[in-house]
Amino acid sequence: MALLEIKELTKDFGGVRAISELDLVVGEAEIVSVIGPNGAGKTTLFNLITGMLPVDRGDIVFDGRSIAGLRPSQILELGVARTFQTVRLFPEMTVRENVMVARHCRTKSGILKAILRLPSFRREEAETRRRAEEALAFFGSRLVGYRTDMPANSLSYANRRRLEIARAVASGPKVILLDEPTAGMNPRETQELGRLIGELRDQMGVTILLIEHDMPTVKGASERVVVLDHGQKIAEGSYDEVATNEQVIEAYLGRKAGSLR
Amino acid sequence: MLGFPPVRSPREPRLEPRLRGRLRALADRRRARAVQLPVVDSFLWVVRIAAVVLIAIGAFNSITSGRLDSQQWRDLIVFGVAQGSVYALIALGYTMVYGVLRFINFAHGEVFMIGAITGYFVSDRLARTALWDAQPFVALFLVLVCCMTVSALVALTLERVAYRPLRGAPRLIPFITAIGASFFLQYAVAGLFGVDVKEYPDVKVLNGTLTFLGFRILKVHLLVIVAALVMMIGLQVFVERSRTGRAMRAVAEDQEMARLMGVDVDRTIALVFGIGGAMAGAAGLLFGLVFRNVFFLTGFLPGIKAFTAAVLGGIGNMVGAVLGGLTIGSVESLGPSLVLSGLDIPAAHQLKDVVAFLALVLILIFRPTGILGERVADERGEVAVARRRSAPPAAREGELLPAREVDLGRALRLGLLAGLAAVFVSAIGMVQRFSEREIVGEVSLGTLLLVAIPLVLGYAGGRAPPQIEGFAAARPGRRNLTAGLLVGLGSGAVMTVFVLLIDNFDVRDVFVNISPDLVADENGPQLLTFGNQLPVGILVVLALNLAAGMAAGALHLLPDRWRKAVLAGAIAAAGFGLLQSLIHQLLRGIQEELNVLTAPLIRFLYQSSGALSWQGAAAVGLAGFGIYAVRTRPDRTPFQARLERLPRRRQRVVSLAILAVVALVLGELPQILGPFYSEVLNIAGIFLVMALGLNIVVGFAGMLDLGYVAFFAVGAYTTALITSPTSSLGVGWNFWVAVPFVVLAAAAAGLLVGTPVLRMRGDYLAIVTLGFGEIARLLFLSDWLKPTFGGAQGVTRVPDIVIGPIDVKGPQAFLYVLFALVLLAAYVSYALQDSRIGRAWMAMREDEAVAEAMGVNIVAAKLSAFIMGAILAGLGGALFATKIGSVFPQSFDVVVSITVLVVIIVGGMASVRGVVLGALVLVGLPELLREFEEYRFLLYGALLIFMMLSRPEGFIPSKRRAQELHEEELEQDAWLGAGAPAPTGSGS
Repeated sequence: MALLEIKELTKDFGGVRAISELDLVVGEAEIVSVIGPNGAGKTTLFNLITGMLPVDRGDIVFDGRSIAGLRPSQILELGVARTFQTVRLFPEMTVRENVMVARHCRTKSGILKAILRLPSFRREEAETRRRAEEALAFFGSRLVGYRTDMPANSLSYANRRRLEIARAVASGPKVILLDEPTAGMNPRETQELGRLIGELRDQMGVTILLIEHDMPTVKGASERVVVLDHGQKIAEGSYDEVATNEQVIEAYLGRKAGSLR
Repeated sequence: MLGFPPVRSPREPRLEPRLRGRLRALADRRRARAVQLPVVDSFLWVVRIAAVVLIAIGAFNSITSGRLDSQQWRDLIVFGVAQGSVYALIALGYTMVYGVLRFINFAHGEVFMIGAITGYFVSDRLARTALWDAQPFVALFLVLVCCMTVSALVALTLERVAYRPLRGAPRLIPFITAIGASFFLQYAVAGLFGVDVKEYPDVKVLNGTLTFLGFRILKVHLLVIVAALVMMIGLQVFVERSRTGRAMRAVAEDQEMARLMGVDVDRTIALVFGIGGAMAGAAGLLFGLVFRNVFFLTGFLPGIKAFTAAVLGGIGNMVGAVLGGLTIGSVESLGPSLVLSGLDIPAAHQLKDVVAFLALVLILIFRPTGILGERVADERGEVAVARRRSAPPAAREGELLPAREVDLGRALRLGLLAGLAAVFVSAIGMVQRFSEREIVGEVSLGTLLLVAIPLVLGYAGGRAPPQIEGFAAARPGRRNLTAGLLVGLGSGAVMTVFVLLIDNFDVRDVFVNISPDLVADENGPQLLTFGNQLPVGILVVLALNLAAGMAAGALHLLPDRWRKAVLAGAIAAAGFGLLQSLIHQLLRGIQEELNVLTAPLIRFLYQSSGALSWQGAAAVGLAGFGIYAVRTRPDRTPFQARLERLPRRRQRVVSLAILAVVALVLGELPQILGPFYSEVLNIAGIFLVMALGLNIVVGFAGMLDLGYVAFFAVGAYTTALITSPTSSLGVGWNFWVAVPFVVLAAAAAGLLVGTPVLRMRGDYLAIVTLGFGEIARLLFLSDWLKPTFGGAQGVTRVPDIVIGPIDVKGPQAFLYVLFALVLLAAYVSYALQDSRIGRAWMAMREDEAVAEAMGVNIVAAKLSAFIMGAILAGLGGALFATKIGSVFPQSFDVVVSITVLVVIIVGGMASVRGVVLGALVLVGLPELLREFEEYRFLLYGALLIFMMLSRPEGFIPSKRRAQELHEEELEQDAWLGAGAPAPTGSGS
């Protein structure tokens, strides 16, 4: 069943058409990779889905309702979480707090409750902590122990990426959009993360939409690959299908000299 | 043009079935917008429509009523244009700096003011010569050159000292520095040249009017308009045509790329500041010629208005700035008569500044992009205030080189700085004022100040240059001494020159505070030479400076722990000397209230004059030294750890005991302190409540609010109106009945200010809130609202608080009530910090867009922070009203907002402990020592600059930030402490 359905999505920046009449359907518990050369509109697509950019035309339907035009916080609450291409944590909050923020939309207590410290507030706070620690524990020992109470900017680069994913997971999403999660990681870390992406889906049943430049990761993790170029979908299918597609090769490598008209 | 051209794509948009597509896009976009901020947007629309309707009605009424004839209207227009030309010249400086650095130079108004003051001094001297009447235009030209030069120099210095080191830091750090610079310059001018209003001499040729195309123009207005026009055209041609102008535009586009293309970026930026400063200097003279009277606060209002003009014209755009200036000038000149009188608002001219501020607020809300599009709302969390330490600027690269024996240049620079600082404190009269109080034995505070300057800078100079990447320092030794000595030498030399100068020349009719007492003849106190005759005095000055510098340098020879212990001892002794009367009173109070005999201790510590005795100083110093040494002994377990080791039961007992002792001390404190010191603590306490509130807005949520005093005023006025029997409401209810109304009114005010600024970026938000604060004060003050708020007379007869049968009367009783509110505010801060909403605020402060993407509703989070802060300030205001017994608009000046901001920045943003200490020291101390009071804002300004340059995290940062900011240093210390061998290249 389609969990996320994108219909004729279009986005312009001034004169540049970043996304053009894009259609995309992602089923439940699927892992779909979005690939394409630089500037193909992959990150713009994520920004549109999560409401960080307003949609110009077309529609995005998530779980049976249109989410185009909603605020990013509302979209997260419905179950779409993301990570960022350039890691964007809350650098001066602790690792634990970073993850706890993601529980914001799943909790309710307001200022008054926080000041009065009612039992319901304490319960909720304890629950939030527990959930946060669970999310952190997903990465084994990487983010737990003494690191939990360190400020996020004290983490290594790879751990920051992991923390970002943990933050997305903690929000209890149905879909996670991962924007180049392995950028800047070494080969071993990349491999490990590729495996974890699979586990994420298997254990929690979340759908994963993945932007990735590392082809082995794409091949290993994803069940379906969508190729974007100039904001348009130029190919879609299994990794092997896409990898042999003429148009895809052309998009990445340019046109063969002989094929010039 | 320094404006940012829109990025053009290389690819042309593809054509498509046009009309249908466009309509669909429009409909979709509408929908997208509508769901974004429905309530806020509709509120803003209502405001917009209301503004237009009111302006239309007002203008229609005024024009048809015939209150002013057409000649008067024309006069107003001419006046508006002349005034607008001045604004335009100032606005050029804002806009050029912004265009190049994306930085709002808040201190630019002060550069203008300095031009105006210079103009006064030069023209006043010239007016006594024959040239003034014989060749008035030559004379005026000379004055103009002087004004432009001085203002340009000030702007250049400002850039070099305060802004350049912060280039590349988060946006709000240089902005806060600029606020500090603004205050520093204002009060430096006040200190150097006096606070009195200075009147420009008469220029005969400029008297009278000309008639031109039916417009009657005052000659002086014509001069202003023509001069401004010539300069603006000249500047435009320069920027458009010259090679340097091209470099400026290149730097504005892309600093890195300009650097690669061979443009000297630093020089170009300095040039921009210089030109902007020169324009402001010219504006200063023209302003002086029109209005005749100038003084040290002259820069504030024109500064804000010129900034408004720059924004109106599209900041970064020079032509826009000129148009904006003319518009603002005309609006301000015509607005009150045209719109406000038409709305039957009495004494409309009083509201001239309200019109200007309202224009600022409305422009920033509705048309923040001006004519050209520089975005004001930013997605990324630049709002993250002064939180991240800036990357070390490139200028420090030299220090990466292996340390030389002594860094000669640095030591001499610091020496020069020390000398200039000493000269400055002498010239503003600080030394003289301070020498009235004896601190230790016969040594006065003034003497101590003069010695302390080479001591402190000698200490800084003697310190090894910062270590980077674990390059070990050379072992302490001769070099530390030499460096300290050099600093002392430098400062001594500068002081010597200064002493000789003022001994031989009388500069008192310019520098009003350089009195004969400083060096004097036979009978004066000869403060600068420490009471010695001149030839000998010079030697004394030099010797003392050298000794102080060397002693401070020598401190670095001690091992770390002992060095700090010595510092602790010195600080303790200085503190006991400074707080002599407070400690006196404390000890006496303890004897009277608790029957502990302290009289012998008083006699031991203090002399009959009140100063610390020498044996007292030694004892206190030793005690400080000892306590520090004991507390830092290596095998010591911290109290917290020891407490945790105890069994549960015992832990609870110990905690209860501590709580009981604290409660007891707090309970007895007002009695021990006596009425005077209770009053001091009351004032500090009220500021503390405000600071805790502002800390929520600035420290937690990262929104720089400069109009915070407005909420305080709302609380105070609400209380006064409800409780005073003579107020316009006249109900005279009980204080406790007023409290819920105060909370409601403050929350409503928070909502009112918070809503329009939701989409604004940090520095714009700061200026709009500043505008709101001033509007509130001016409205409370105005005759228009006098029936409600009492105008300048305020609301009097606010009754005391009554708790059951007890009437809270007098400062001591009041202190108990205040304690309760402070505890409440502190508790609320702690509770919120560690809660769902607190985390949402911090996330928003760190990165707004990501916080939103992670599920935080930014609108709700921002508004709730504003409201929480407003409520705390409102409650503070309520207490303030009952304490004073009356409420006057003068109490709610913008300096209150700045003071509160200084408290939280210096104390340590987001750190509750830091805020408490900051309020006690920064507000309590000037109240305690009247001699500080005079220099209070000067010190605040200097502190703001210093903090931003060296410790943006504050003196007592929140724990986590301390960890992060100095982590590397700690690591390095550990590494060095473990005796790691110095890597090669360390030089020794």
